[in-house]
Order: sequence, then C-alpha cells, then structure tokens
Amino acid sequence: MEVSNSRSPSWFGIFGRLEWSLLLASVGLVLIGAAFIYSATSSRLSIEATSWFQERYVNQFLAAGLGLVLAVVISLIDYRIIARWSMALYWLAIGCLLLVFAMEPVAGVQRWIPLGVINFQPSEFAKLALILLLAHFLCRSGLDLRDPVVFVKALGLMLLPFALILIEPDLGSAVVLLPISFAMMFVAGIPRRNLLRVIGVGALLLGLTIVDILFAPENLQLIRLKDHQQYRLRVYFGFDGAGADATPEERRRAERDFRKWSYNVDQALISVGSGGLTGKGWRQGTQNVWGYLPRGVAHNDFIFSVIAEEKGFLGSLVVLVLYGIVIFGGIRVAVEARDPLGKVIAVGVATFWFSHIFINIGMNIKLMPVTGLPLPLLSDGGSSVLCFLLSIGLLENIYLHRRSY
Amino acid sequence: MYATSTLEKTDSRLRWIGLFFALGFLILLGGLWFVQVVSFEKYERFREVQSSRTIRETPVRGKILDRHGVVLAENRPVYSVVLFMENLRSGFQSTYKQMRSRRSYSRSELPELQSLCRYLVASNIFTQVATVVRRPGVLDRERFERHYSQKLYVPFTLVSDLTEEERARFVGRGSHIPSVDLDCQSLRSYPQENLAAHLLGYVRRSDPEFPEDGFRFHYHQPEYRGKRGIELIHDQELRGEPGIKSVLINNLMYRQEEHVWLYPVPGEDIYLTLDAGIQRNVEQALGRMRPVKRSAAVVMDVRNGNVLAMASLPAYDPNEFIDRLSPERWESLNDEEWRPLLNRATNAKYPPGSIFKIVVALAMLEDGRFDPEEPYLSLGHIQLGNRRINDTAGPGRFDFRRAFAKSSNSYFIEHGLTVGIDSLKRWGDRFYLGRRTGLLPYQELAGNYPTWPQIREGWPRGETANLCIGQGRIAVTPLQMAVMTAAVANGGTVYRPRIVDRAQFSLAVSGSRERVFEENRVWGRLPVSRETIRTIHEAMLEDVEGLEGTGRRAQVVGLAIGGKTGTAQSGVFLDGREIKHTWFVSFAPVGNPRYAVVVLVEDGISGGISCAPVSQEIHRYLHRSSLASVPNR
Repeated sequence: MEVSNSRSPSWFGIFGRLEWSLLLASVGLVLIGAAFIYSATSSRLSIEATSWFQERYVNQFLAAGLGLVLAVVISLIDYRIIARWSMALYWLAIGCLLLVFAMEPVAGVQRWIPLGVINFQPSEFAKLALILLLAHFLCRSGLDLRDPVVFVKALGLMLLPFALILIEPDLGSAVVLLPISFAMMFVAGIPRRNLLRVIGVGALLLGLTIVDILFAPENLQLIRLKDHQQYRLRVYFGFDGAGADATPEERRRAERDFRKWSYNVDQALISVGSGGLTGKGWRQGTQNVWGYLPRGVAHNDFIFSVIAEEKGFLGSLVVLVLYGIVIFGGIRVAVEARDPLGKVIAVGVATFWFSHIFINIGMNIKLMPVTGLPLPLLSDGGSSVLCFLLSIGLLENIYLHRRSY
Repeated sequence: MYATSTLEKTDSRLRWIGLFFALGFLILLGGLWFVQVVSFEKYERFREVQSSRTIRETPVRGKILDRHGVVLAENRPVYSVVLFMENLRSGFQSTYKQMRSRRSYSRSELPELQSLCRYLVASNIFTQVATVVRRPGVLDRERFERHYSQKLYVPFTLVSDLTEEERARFVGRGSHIPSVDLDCQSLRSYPQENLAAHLLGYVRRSDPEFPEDGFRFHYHQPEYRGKRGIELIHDQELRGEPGIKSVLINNLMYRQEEHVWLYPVPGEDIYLTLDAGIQRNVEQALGRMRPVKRSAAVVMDVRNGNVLAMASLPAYDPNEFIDRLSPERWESLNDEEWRPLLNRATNAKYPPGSIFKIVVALAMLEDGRFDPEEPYLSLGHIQLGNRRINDTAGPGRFDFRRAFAKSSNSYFIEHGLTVGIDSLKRWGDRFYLGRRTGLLPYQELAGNYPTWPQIREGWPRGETANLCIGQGRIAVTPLQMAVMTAAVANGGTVYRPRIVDRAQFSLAVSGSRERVFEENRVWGRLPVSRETIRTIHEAMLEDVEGLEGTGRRAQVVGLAIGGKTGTAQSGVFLDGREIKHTWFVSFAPVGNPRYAVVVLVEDGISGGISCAPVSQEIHRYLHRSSLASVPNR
C-alpha cells in the first residue's frame, strides 16, 4: 500500500513498515539498563525507606515509557515538517541552555533545570535540536555546499551550543557535538578539503591545549579548565602534575590528588576486568555491591562497569551487539532515506549514539578520559533516556517515510 | 553488516561513516576482550587485594601435666564484650543525619562530625554495657578511632577480661544491647603458681614471624610463645597450627563475609615425668630453710632416669609473664644476688666437693691395687709440697668405710693420687661430667671437667689432689650429680635424664595418638663389679646411719638411705669468709634403690647440716607415698 505524499502512514501500515530491530534493541537496552540500575542502587545502605516510585530504576522505566510514546508520536509526523520547525527548536534549546546559568549550581556545575520532580538537562535536547537544524541547513545544492560561507555558517550553528555547554561546564557533551556535526557535514557533501582543514586546525589546537593544561604552570594556562576536568585529563594521560622541581611535599600532595581522582577509573577497570568471561552474576559483583565502585556514579556514568562485572565479557558483548543494531540500523535508515535531509538526520543520530557509546565504554576501560557522558538507554537519567528514545523515533520516522515520494 | 552491503548503490561517504563506526566497535571489543579475558587474573588479584583481609587465628595451646595428669599449665578462658562494627553503620548514619540537620556545617567540619557521631553511637553502647556489668568508665575515643580506621573488619573490644560476676551480669541482663556479644579467648595460666616454675618456663605475648610461610596476615589474634623451659622446648607441639580465615570487606572496611581457609589445630598436651606431689614437697622442704637460701634439688627415678622433681629456689610465678611486667618487677626478677629466673638445678655449676668422692671411690675400688680394708693413718691434714690441705675428718685411723662416712680428705687424696689423673678422668667421663645431659636445652650448663689436652699439657699433682676432693677444675650441676647418684644406686647403668613423657592431643583430633618420648635411654654402663657397688652402697649407708656419718640428719626411720655430703669451697669471699656450696646426694632404699635425691644449697654451713635435713624430708615423703600407692612407673 503506497501512502500518498500528503498523508501520514495509517496506524495499520505502521506495524508492517517499522524498523523493528531498532525498536526491539532499544527496548532491550532499556530493560538491561533498569536491571543494572537496580543492581547498582539496591545494595546502597539507606536509612529512610524509599517508596517504590522513588527508586531510580522505576524512574528509568517511567522516562522510557514516556520516551517510547513520544518516539511513536514523533515518528508519525513527517520529519520534513519537523525539520521546518528546527530553527525554532534550536533557539528554544539555546534559550534553555542560557536559562541553566540562572540556576543554582549543583556540585559546582550548572547543567540542570529543575522541573518539579525531575531535573531537565537541556544539553541533551540541544544535541537533537542541532542535528535537526544542521540537517535542515545542509540540505541544499552541491554548489552551495562548496561555498565556504555555508560551511562557516554551519560551523557557527554548532559552535554556539558547543560554547554554552562547555561553560556549564560539561566538556563531554560539548565535545560530542563535534563528531556529530562533522559526520553530518561530511555526508551532506561539504568538500572533504574544507572539512580536513578545519579538523586539522582543530586537532592541532586541541593538542596544544592539552599540552598547555598538563604541563604549563598555572599562570601561563590560556584555557582554565575546572579542577576536576584538569585532573581527569591528568589521570587519562597518567601524569600527576608535579613538575621536575617539585618539593617532596608538593609531590606527595600531587600524588595523593592524583590517586583520589584516578580512584573511579581504577575501580571501574577492576570491576570490568574482574568480571572475566561470564561475570559474577546479577547483584553479585563485589565491586558494585560493596561500594568500591563509587555509589555516586555506578548507576549512571559507570553503569557499564556494573554490567561488565556482573555479566562478564559475554554481557559486554550483548550490549555491544544491541548498540551495533541501533547504529548500523541508523546507517541503513540513512541509506534508504528518500532524501538528503533524512539521510543527514539519520547519520547525525547514528553518530550521536556512537559518540556516547565509544566515549563512555572507552572511559570504563581507560581508553578515554572520564567525562560525564551517559551510556545511551543504560545510564540512569531521564533526560538522556528521553533524548535517545526520541532519536530512535526520528530514525523510525525517516524509515517510515522512506518511500513516500 | 547489512548496512554496508547496501551502501554500494549510494554514495561512498556513508560507507566511510559506516567503516568508521565498525572500527570504533572493533576497538571497544578488543579493549573489552583484553581487559576482561586476557587481563582477568590481574584485575581479579587487584580486587582480592583491596577487598580481603587475612586473619590469623590462634589455636588453643596444649596443656602441661605431670605424670598423673595434674595440670601444671593450662588455658583459662578470658571473656570480653565485643562490638560488631558492621552492625552500627545505620546507627552512625542516622546520628550523622540528625546532627547535620541541626545546624549547617562547613565542608571541613564534616569528617570531625562523622567521627563524633561514630563515637557517640559506640560510647552509648559502651555505657549500656558498662552499666550492666557494673564497670563504669568512659570509652577511650582515641582507641575507638584507631580501631575504626585500621581494623574495622574485626570486632571492637568494649570491656575486656570480665570477672565471673561481670560475665554473669552481662549474660543475664545484657542481651538487649544491640550489636554486642561475649568473646572468649584463652590465656595461659599456671594453676600451681610457683610449682616447677623453672622447669615449665613461661610464655610471652609474641607477634608471629613476619612474613610467615610467605603469607601475610593483616591481623592476628594475640599469640603467645614459649620463652623458657618446657614451654620453649616443646613450643612446637604445644602451640598447634594457626587457623587462617579471610574477611571480605567493603570499600569502607566493614566486614561483609568470612571464609575460613584453615581451622586452627589445638596444640598437643605434654605429660611430664614429674610428680607434682613430690615436686611440691621438694619445694616446701627447700623453702623451709632459715635463713632463706638459694638452693636446688633433683629427684630422679634411678631405674630409668625419669626426673620426678626438679626445684630451684628462689622461684617466681610464671603467671606474671602473661601480662606486661612492671619494670620494677622485671628488675627484681633479674636481681644479681638472687637471680630467681635461674634454674639452679641445671643452669648453674658448682664445685661438687666431697660428693665427688663417690667417683674417686669407684676409681679406687676398680683400680685393683686398692684394698678397702687396709688402714690409713691420717694426721688430720695432708701436706703436698708446701701446701697443706686441712681435713675436717680429723686425725686417726681410717679404712675405706670410715674415710667415706667421715669424708676424710687425706684418705681420698692419698689414694686418689695413687690411682692417678688418667683413671679419674676416665671415670668422670663415664658419668659425662663436663657435658650437657640435653634435658633442658637453652637452660643447661655443661660444667667443667679436666680434658685430655689439659692433662697432657702437664697436670700438676696438686690439681689431682684437688680433684680427689671435688675441688679445683671441676664444676657440676645438681642434675649431673643426680645422674651420677642414680647410676651408682642402680648398679652401674647411666641413664640420660628424661623429663617429658609423652605428647597427646587432649581432644580426639582425627588420627591422633599419644607420642611417647624415648624411655630408658641408657647413656652408658659403668665397668664395675657388684662387689664395688656393694662396698659403695655400704659406705653411703654408713654416712647416713653410722655413728660418725656426716649425713646423719638425713635418717628416716624404717628407710635405708645411702648418702654423701659435700661442702665445697666456692673461691668467692663475702664479708671475709669464703662462701661454701653444700651438697647432699642420696638414694633409697639401699637394698632396692628407687630414688636418687640431690640437694644443693648455696652458701650453706655444711652438707650434713644444711642439706641432709632437706633430703630427709624428701625421702620421708617418697617413702610414705610409695607405701601408700602403687609403685611409680
């Protein structure tokens, strides 16, 4: 049954034409996530009785349920119509990002907008808004795309949220915008030469910045990172920050600080490694249950360590396979998309997922420095679950509308 | 890879993105494989190191008992009230929450607040316990914090060393107090106090060697090691095998689980040949002397060399060493003059004086040139070159018996010189003089006796004369004299003295059986005729029974005792007079010898006056108890 241009696909038709593997993989990930959030939080010693609806895994289910409903709703509105509103969504997101600065800092950072029961994290939605707007912006003739002005404008669209998120500060979320944007520009057809130039200059600047942050004395540092960011980088590069001329006292202090900051990573690595091939069993991971894996991060940023410890390499493999289904499903959607807009959005979404997965899992095995990036659908966090499910909705949307010329 | 396959028909840029993602996934997969499968053991070890603590459990030390099973050293239970820290966590937290909500604290104040809350919770429980057992006090905050930060995974001792009443009160009324329990540890105790203190030795608190068997313990229960005497010599048997358990702890060091790897194996009980009744009698007999003297005594079974009693005065109470000794007490235990720690029966050497005439007599009687009946006219002293040796026996006519009983120096020097140093040396060697018996390693002296090289270098006659009366280059321990007396008494068999009879597990430990230490260890046989033995027995009997005997004060009615007194010049002068060490060696009954008794008194008057009465008391006891009971083994 061919659906006409102006009509949305009927309810009946949807079931037959959905990309089921994407949806099932997402649901699978949500279930796994809730199970291990439960494992990571249930062993916590708490003196106040918490009601079932206050439990994190229940919240996660609620967020996932809401996310699925929204995903279905979104998948039914033709993405081209959504794209037309992308500019509005983009500025709404920017507005929210600015609003964040009006909020009381939580643990030294301003990332959240409290909305009664939940804390809303606009940076997550900013990523989706940027994907939509950038795709919309980049869908023009090949001739236009070769125009450096267009390229620079596209960069500008990216840099605005990038800068705002960076000063929240949320280095991880900001950095993720880069691969997303570049992948979209690349697929949209921005000349390779222009991209390479910018990436090359960017990489050089990044390298210099890192060297500056790690080795330059404080008064010569051009970019002042927050302490925790600086230490995370040091931990990643295995450099405790004590200069060659440091006194023993300074050296000891630097070493102690270093150990304090590397604790999370070391414990995550021990958790993952001691999981072995088959793991210790659900809620049996001693690193998790006995609190070696810090309780504050076990259920969100380091949820992967919990899974890897309790389910072993096989568990990690299952997670990777599910992610593979989503990401390569996204590419397939891009391939089958009816127009460049759909293709570029799909690539943006796939890269969005990929960046989060690679950086987060990489951080659990010390392949990447520590950032607060959530693992899609597994990490505890309503905003993030909602966003990733919405992005699945977008993919389904593009897939559903692939043949409706 | 269905995505990339369909890419052929679309643009290559999507394919590049797909390849890039695939590469990323391969990197993650490889990384996870490396961390989880290849390096599994490394991280598993890290995990184990940070989350497990090994604890060494002290086994129950074996007892020491006498031959009849009278307990000489045992373990008494020591009860204390302990607090299980892992049960307090919620208490710590709720108190902390409460305190924190009262006012705002700055970040730097929080650790102190937490510490205070912990202390409040613990000290609250402490007060409850203290009230119940009625031992008021305040919980030492520093001790508690130290335990919290270092040994959180083991229970914290609230009140230690409960008395019987305190324990009863706690059991009766302390059950409502949360998270506390009675803990029992065993502590060495010597129920007979001073009895055989030198022989038993003592134990002291001692940390296990580190690292032991290459195994590192994070915590060990108090452990005691034998430091002297039987406790030291048989420490290995008494100690048993420690148990090993590991406690798995969480990130805050609270205990989560326990695994026992090895249960402790209790030590073996050691049964001595000692007879506690005889031992007590001997110590009382020595202790009754006035003024109080440094003295020693050994009672030996002449038929097998078993030591039945071995005493040394002054003694000490080995219980004192369990707790920490005060410096003053330690000093008095090491007092230069009295030296209570010294086992004078084995670890001190003295010139034997006239008791050595027994050996000289053997040499004379077996010489072949000597006639015991032949009379000898003594001048009351003997002149050797320009040296004159006095003789307490006085002048007169002496045959062998009279000379022996009156202990005539002149007689024995005269005939000893005839026999010669070579023969005396050989006879001394047959009793292993100058050598350790091996009864109490680390606690025994070899004594002195002329060596062949010394003799060959040129041995002056004067030295031989000295030796004939047990002076000069000779020094012996009371134990050596007991060996000698026993050998003479039993007709010529030299036994190695024996003190430990058997080792045995008190409980039915699987596969255990008693291990009897070698019995009747014949050390040598004297080449003596029965005639010689009879002559010496008669002479020794004469010394006690005879009208002129020097050992008459040892007489026991109805018991034939053979003895020999000795009064030896020590060469040490005090207040212008020379200190004399006095001896009495004896055996009984003469017809059927059973016990050899050696008594030594430092700085005595004479063997007959100082030592013979002590021996009399001992013999009387031995006689009575052997009449009353079945013969000893």
